[in-house]
Amino acid sequence: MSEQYDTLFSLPSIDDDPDTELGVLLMGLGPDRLLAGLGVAGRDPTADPATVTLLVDQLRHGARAELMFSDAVAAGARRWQVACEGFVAANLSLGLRSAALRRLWESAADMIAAFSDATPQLRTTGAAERVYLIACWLRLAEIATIAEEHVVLPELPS
Amino acid sequence: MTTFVPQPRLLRSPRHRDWPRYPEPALPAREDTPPAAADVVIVGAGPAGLAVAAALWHLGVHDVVLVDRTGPPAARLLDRIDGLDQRVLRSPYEHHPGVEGYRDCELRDFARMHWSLLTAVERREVRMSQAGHRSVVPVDVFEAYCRHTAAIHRVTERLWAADVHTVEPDGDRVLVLGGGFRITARQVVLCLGEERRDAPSGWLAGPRPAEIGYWDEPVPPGVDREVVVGAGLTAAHLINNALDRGTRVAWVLRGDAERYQCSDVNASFFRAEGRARFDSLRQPVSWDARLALMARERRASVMFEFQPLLREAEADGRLTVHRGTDLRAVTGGGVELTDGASVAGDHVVLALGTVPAIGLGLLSDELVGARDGWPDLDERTLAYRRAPGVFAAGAASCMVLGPAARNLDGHRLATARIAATIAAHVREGAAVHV
Repeated sequence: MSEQYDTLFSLPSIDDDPDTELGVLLMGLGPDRLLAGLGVAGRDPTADPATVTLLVDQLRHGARAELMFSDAVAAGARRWQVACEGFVAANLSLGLRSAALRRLWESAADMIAAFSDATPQLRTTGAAERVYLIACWLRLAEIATIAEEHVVLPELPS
Repeated sequence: MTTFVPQPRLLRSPRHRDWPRYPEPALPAREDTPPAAADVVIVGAGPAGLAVAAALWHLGVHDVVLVDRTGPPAARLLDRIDGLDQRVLRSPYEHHPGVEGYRDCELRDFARMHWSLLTAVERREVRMSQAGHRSVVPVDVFEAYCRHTAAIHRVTERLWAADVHTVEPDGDRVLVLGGGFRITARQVVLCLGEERRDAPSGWLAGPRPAEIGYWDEPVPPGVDREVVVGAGLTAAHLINNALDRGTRVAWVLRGDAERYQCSDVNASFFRAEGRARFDSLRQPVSWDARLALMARERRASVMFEFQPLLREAEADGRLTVHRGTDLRAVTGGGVELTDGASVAGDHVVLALGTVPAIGLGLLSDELVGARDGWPDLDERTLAYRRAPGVFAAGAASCMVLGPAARNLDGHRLATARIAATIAAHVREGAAVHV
């Protein structure tokens, strides 16, 4: 009888885009942290995604007097509201979701990139905002639950 | 497919690469000396102190002062590491300096966040760790992570660089006295780390000459033949550095053979079943049994990535290894072995390991209650039995938590017991004063 299962396995690539590695990591974080990151990223177009992630960690610990975590979440919710209008305008949906997280991330990133020129609401000010927008989109059901505490969201294309 | 090959390339991570300095919270204005009172004083801001401070922060104990003789978090450890030109930690990614259970960013995720800064070898180590295999951690990653952990848990703003001279229980408080300051604390945690083990007095005939140094001292230039005494990772780094300089090396092991290991203690001691062999909270374990286990398990060993390097050097004559004999004397011209042989060299470096700092010199000898070099600690709380307001984390708690207590992972275990006890005391105190 031939081997029924392939018992070999390989570890994920080490050569993927660094944003993909961070993106996959972000997909495992709580939605409030993702929204906060989206809010923080919009404040500084030059910030890189890692810096924003660590700043969100500082805010979660109340370590910065000038910005509260809840304010960052609210700012992220407002930005998410705008992005949702863009997803509706572009009739853009995730469609079938790959079970491979890296492929899923890359696919979502490609879709947003392809539509951002024609859809101003999906245009991002820098790398961090782009990464956090993708992460929020990939977690949109949970993001919507949190964001709706702050803003009114349109119904997204399914 | 990635396969694990213990090659020397794992030892060669870049150090002091251009790692981004993240915006840190502004430090509040403060005095040059620590405040006169605090709920908790942590003496020592190494990985153990950092872990205790982080845990206390999460438990709502924020009136914490840290005092460290060197200054920045983990600075002394990093100084020692850099002095040896050590580029990776033997401690794996899972053993991050911080606390668990609060969704803080962990060490491996911190490394993944900085993917573009990692070399291909370092990225592969992250993957190995994700797959549940043993990994090594670049010192650059560890340092940046410590800085982040310190920033988010207010360690940076609550840390003063100063020497502590005395820790003295005073009623229901503990006085912490140092150079130009005095703090009255409800509780004190000693995170003192380990000190260099000095040579037995019989080895040296008089004052130590300049040709004999310790592992934490620089080797003078122009050494042609170096004698390294010791069997641990530090000795391996010293040998490797000397070989890189083109120096011939004589390695005096003081043991029968080199021990190459992934971890400096058996991995079981990082798990519950290993700790149960020490921890009397589960079942009584005699003192003698613990001493015997410590003697057997806390032995010098070398990361086995060094094995190919050292074997190659021995084979081609750049390294001579002296096995199976101890040392009788050390002189400016080399060492004398117990079998009567002499090993000549124009510089001798002693790497004899470290000794846990158990509070002697800060607390009175009576309060430390030392037995066989270990403090008398309450096993439930890690408080000194004779000074219940003072706790010990890190290597000093080995006889309670096992040999892994001196490692990053052991710090977290000690921290969990200590922080929970302290937080309960602080809450009780707050209730009394309402």
